[in-house]
Amino acid sequence: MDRPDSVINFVSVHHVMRAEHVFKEHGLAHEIIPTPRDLSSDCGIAIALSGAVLKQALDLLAGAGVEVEALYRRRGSTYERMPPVSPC
Amino acid sequence: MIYADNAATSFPKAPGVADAMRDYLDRIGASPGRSAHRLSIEAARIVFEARETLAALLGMDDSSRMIFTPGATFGINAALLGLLRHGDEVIASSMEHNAVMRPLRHLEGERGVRVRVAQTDGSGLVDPRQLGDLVTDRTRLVAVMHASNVTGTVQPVAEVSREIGPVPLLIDGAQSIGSLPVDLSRLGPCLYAFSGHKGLLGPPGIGGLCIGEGIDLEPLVRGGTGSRSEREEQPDFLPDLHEAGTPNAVGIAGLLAATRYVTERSVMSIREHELALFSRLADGLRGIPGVTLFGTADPERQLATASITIDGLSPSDAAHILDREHAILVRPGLHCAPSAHRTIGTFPAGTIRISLGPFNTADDVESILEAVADLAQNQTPPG
Repeated sequence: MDRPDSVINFVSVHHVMRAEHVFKEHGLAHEIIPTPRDLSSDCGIAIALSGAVLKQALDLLAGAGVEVEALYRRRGSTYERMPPVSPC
Repeated sequence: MIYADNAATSFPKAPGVADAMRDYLDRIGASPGRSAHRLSIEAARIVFEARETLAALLGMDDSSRMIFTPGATFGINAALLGLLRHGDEVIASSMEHNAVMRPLRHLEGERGVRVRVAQTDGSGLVDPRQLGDLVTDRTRLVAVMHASNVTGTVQPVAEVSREIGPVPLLIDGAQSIGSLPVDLSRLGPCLYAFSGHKGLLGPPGIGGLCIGEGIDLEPLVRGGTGSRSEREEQPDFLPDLHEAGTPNAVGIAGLLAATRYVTERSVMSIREHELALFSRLADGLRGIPGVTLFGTADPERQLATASITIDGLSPSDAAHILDREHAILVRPGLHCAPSAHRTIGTFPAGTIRISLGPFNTADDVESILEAVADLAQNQTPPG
């Protein structure tokens, strides 16, 4: 996997598990991580992935009806919130 | 020994249940999703997989609307206490278990909920049209047990759902899940409460409540969910809204193994097996002088549960002799359902309940019939 510089937050662990299920089905590289403390702690775990596959990931989630709470991009040692990316 | 008390709890459990629980305790152990380490995530995957597998079994599109509970009783309480408010009216069939009737009587006293009981016929069968006719503009809920734990009578819940229209239907599925096909997508608004340790062949202490689209319940319990931790208010999304506290992950691991077994064997094939056993049992019991069999005459409207009385012998004495002399394990008495026993005319002594399961055999049925015939002929209480 390219450097996981993007983080998708979900409201609940159930939503993270649904997202993981969708990504595994489509062979999309990702990693479950503890939600970084400087992000809103929507749920204790989040999904990190490369910005290169972020759009594809969001399309897959939208297709499966998995609601995304927020998106973040790593900037050095901090994270900045990204505007919502509308799926295709 | 013949175990014929599956309506109380199934035995034996499905193959793989004990192994899955042991594996969880020995190898995983962590709290699902609360932390982000590998064991916590693995536990979360088990919970997710169980939720998805159960939702698929029950014909649910959105598994987040299936919440885990300690059992059917908790799920029923969550539904009734979470939905009914002062001035609401609820209609319950006269065959309901105390899991429904006791919280309803509590709500009657505490919240002024009006409880109306719809009398069934003597076989325990509800009349869907009667229920539809009882609905008023104050009716907030109709409660019908999918299959009676006393007589095994299977209720026409799809017809009831049609007759009551937009009023939510609370289905007590304690006896039906795993034993009867259930497709919630074909029903109107409904709540379906189930336990994991009966027809699903899983462990006790775990069950669930399916909350139909458009039905909002106040949570029965509030607390930590591992989500929105910065706030002191309960999150408003499912399943977290109704799942405060560390989940019973070891129970869920066992329930997942059990649900997989039931799914692979298929509910239809379990149903056919149990129906064949019940048909022979019912025919045999009806042919024994002095024995009365309750429930409907149509095996298609029955679970593999037979409630009987034997002339001249109390249910408790009969059950004692069956255990001591014949190693046949049944349950006598009122089965936590006094209203159902009043309905079929067996209150307060109750009946002898013979409840078969997927692992009973045709030979078991013949042995039970021989033993009951022996009891009916001799009618001697144990000394």
